[in-house]
Parts: sequence; C-alpha cells; structure tokens
Amino acid sequence: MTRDKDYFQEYRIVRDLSSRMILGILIFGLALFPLVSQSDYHVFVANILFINIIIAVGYNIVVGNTGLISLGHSGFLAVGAYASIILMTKIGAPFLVSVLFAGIVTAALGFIVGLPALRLEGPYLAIATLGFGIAVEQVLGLAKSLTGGRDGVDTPPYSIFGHVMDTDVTLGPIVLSSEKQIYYVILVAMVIMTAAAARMMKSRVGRGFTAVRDSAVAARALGVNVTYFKSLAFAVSAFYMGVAGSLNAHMVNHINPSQYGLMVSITMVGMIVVGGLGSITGSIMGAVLFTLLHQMLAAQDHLNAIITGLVMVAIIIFEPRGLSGMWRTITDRLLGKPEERKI
Amino acid sequence: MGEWTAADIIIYLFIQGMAIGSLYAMIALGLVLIYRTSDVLNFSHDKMGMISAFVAYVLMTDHMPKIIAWCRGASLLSFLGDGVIMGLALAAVLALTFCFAFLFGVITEFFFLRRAKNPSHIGYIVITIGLWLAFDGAASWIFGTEYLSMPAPLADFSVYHLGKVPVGQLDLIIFAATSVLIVSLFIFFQYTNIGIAMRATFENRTAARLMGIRTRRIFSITWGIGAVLGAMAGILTAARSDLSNTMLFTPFVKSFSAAVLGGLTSIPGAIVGGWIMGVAENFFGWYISMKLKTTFAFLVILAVLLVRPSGLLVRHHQKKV
Repeated sequence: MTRDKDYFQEYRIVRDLSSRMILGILIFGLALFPLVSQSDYHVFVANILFINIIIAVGYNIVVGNTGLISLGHSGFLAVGAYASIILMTKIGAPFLVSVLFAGIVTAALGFIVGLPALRLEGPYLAIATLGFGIAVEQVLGLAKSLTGGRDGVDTPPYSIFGHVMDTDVTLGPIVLSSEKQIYYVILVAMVIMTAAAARMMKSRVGRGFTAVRDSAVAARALGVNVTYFKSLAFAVSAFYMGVAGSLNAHMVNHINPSQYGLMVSITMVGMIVVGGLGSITGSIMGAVLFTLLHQMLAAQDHLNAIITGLVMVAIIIFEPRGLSGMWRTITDRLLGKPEERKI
Repeated sequence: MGEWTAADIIIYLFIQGMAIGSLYAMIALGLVLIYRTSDVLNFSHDKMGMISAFVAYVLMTDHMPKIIAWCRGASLLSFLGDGVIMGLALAAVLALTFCFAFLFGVITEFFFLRRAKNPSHIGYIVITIGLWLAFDGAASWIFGTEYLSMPAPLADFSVYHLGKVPVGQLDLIIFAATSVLIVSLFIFFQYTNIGIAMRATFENRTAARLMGIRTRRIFSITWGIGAVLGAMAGILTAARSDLSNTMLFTPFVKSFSAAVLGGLTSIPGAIVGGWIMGVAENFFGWYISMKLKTTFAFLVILAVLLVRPSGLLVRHHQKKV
C-alpha cells in the first residue's frame, strides 16, 4: 500500500538520512581519533568529554524531558563512583560488572529519591534535591571504613576480561597508552547510552515523560501513570549518573567526597540548559562547550564561573531552546524548510 | 566555672540556636519575600548577601577614616566623644551597605529576571543559579578567597554571663536586630502603601495590576528589600565567624529548610522556621552528630515536604490547573 507523503514527511526522510550518515562518519572519526592523536592529554580531555556527554544525556532525561528539576545529581555520581570502587576493591568483582552494578545501585537510589518528587514541584523539588546532594557528600565523608572518609580513596584502574589498562599495549605499529585504551571503553559506553536515550525518547516511555512534563494533570486524565513515569525518570537518569560516576572514578586514580559538591550539579544544569532542554543533540553540544570551556579556563576559576553563569542567564533570556534550538533554526533555514505550522 | 548542669547546657544550646536561627530567619525572609512576590526562588541570595558583607568590609577597612571625618564634620557635634562618633560612622557604613544591597537587588531584578520572557519555574531557577555562579566568580576575583575577620567595631564582642551560661554581645545584637526587623516589617506590610501593594501583588498579580499597582516596580522593590535582608544576615554572619566568599552557603541551605518549614510563602513562617531550624540543629549537633548538621537540614526539608508540604503556618494552597 502506498501513501502520498506530504512535504513535511519527505523533508523528514531527507533529514533523517543525512543525519544518520553524518552520525556514522562522526563515530568512525571518533574511533580513529586516538590512533592519530599524538598527545595523551587530548585523549584524556576526550574521555572527560564523553563522560560529560553521558552525564548530560542522563540529566536531561529528568530535567529536560520530564520537567523535574534536580540539583542533587552530583550525589548520584558520587554514589555510582563509590559503589563500583567498593565492589571492585572489597569484593573483587570484575570492572564491567562493577560499572553496571554501580548503575543499578544508583538507579535504585534514584527511584527512592524520586519518590518525594511525586509530590513536589518546581522550586520545592529543587530545594529537596539540593539537600540530597549535600547530604550524600557529608555521609560519604563520614563513612570512613567504606569510603576512606574525607581523604578519599584510590581507585582501581580499568580492566576488561582480565586485561588491566594501566600499561601501554603494542598492536603491531600502534602503541595504545592507558588513556587510549580507556578511551575506547568510554566511547562505546557513550555511544550505547546516547543511542539508548534517543531510542527511549521516541518510545512510549519517552512520550510518557513528555506528557508528565507538559501537564501532569492532563497526562493523568489520559491514562498516563504519572507516578510511574516520574520515578522511572529519576531511576533512569540516576543509572546514567551511576555509570558515568564509576567510569570517571576509575579513570582518575583517586577520588574524595568533596569532588561531588554542588558545583558539579550546577555544571550539569549549565550543560543541558545551554545545550538545549529535552534534546540529545543539545546535551552533547552543552557537554562539548562546557568541557572545552572548563579546559581552557582551568587556570582561571573565577573567569570560568562568571562566563558560565552569564551564558546560562543569557540562554534563558534570549534562546530558551539552547544551542540545539539555534542549530535547528539555522539548518532549517539552510535546507529551506518552511516555517513550522503554528497551532 | 564549675560543672555545667543539664539545664545550663540546654539554655546554652537554646540561646545559641536562637541566635543562629535568627540569621537563618533573615536569609529565609529575603527568600520568601522574593518568592511570594515574583515567583522566583533566588538561588543567588547567599552570594548577594556575601557581596554586600564584603562591601561593608571594604568600607570599614579602606574608607573608615574618611567616613569618621565626614561624620564629625556633618554632625556639627564634634564635641561628642569618640565612641559616639564611631557609632555614627558604623551607622553610616551600614546605611551605605544597605543602599548598595538595595540597588544590587533592584539591578539584578531589572537586568536579569525581568528580561526573561515568560520562563518556566526551571527557567527562573536556572537564571538564579547562573547568577550564583557569576556572583561567586566575581566575588572571588574582586575580594579573593581567603578568610577575613571583620574590622574593629564588628569584632571582639564582649561576653556576658547568665548564671554559668555565656551570652555573646553579638548574639544580643542579633536578637535586637531581629526584633526591630520583625516590628518594622509588620508596620511596613500593614500600614505603608508599598507594603500593602506588595501583599496585593502576592495575592493576585493581575488584579493588582488592574487596580493600578505597578507590579513590576513592586518586583524590583521586593528584590531590593530581600537583598538588604541578605546583607544584614551577611554582615552578622561575618561578624559571628569569618568573612569569606563561601561563608553564607551553609546557612543559606539551612534557611531553605527554614523557609520550607514555614511554607515558602509565609513571612511569620520564615521567622519561626528559622528559629526552629537553629535550635533544632544545635540540639542535634550536641546530642547526635556535629558533622551531619547539614544532612539534618535536608532531613527536615524532606520530612516537612512529605508530611505537610504547605509548611507549618500556611493553609493548604491547591494549585489550579
């Protein structure tokens, strides 16, 4: 059965095809990057960038897609990091299992933290989650026997199928340093998790999140289980945090609770707001911008804070859809798409 | 001094708690005023208070001789003792600081909050978080990040004794300031036109505008008043411990729970909530755990929000669709 497509559907096909091709080329290029890169530092920055992308994508699920503002996601990162470290050092679980386990533990915690979210809205939720983030930091600092307290704890390196990634590996003419091996693990994780999020947002679950965000009352009236979707949003996003937290912890050799302060949560807010709320492209753009900004201004903390803060304010004032919104406007113009029909 | 009895400890903890709680109440009041009038939960409130406290510090360390000379000249009372002149100078410093804070609040509202066209709650929160970052960066740039102590008139307070229990002079000043604040706020909201206009704006913004109230100007004024309250809390906190760019953050988190405890839109609620938080956390710290005080504040927020989300002093307010 054939069906005539209207202009908008045809436009979408062109767009989907071209964007898929671009995506494929991009991932291929990313896979080649460590082979051509001379500097381990660049690879290290790329690793941080990918972890930030996982964080931004996961955080956007709860804030951008479901409309629940959380300022306590740094707490989930911390829990994920410590969960996988404890599992690896105290029980001796393999690395991949620990990362996955960290995600699951954090998701369970996220579900529990999401419970108050069922009754709270807007600013109330922001305050409650802000308190959660600070509480996690304090509790981790106190539980000395498990976490090493304020001084922190050394983290075991990446290892896959018995291969520990702390030394160089030579494959014929190619020498892969520890950073470059880690790079591939994080790249795979990032691609899988981003693709999963993109898929989820187009599924029933994603539409449920959006329905809850746009109007919880209307969603409930149409038979959407608001309770379920709110907790699910928190759990899913916490899973992303758990994985990102543990990937990050094993990369940096040593962590302590004070690394997971409010600043981390605020950076997350900045990434997704500047990138674009509720958009995966936006999450990625925000993560790229913030990672680069942070690396460039690492020596000038205050300048970094001022610029980041003002950019956040400016985005809300001038372009609430963020960088991805701007990008969309530009590409729509270039591809000659007519104005959206306004309802 | 001799042994302290249990009653002494309780009195001591209570007085200390009330003093700290009054500071929480001041911060919470600023938050609540701004929130109930303009719907914005101001996450940059602590940084605004901190910057104002730094302004007071700079005035007192760098410009004090000028101000004293000015007071001496302007008051035509040069026969007065040095102590009185010093008091006048301090009053002048405070007045200048509060003027600064008021303008700071007004400018923040005018240039950042008002520009946003119809943002959601998240939009407002993001703006104030962005301002928090920017203010923090600016303050550490201009004033540095080390811990300073307030200069002469706002340091080295004497300590009185109530039986065995020491009571700091500063704590008495805090009580006095809070009492003055409560009375003046009451008068302001009951008897002045601006105060009544503010209440009207809170009750129903559209109706208030239809009645000829310039609601946008009311927003600006509210932000100014809120910032002045923050400045008061900032100066007193700096005098009580240290002046640094992070000094107000922990009190700020606790005044969030104070505000939530009082219902986030209730002015008496913010004050009572602040006192309850201060006293409760002091007892918690003494008897259970000093290090988990902030966690305690979080637990209070959670408990209140789960049991009685509208707070202790507010009748339940159903959101209309």
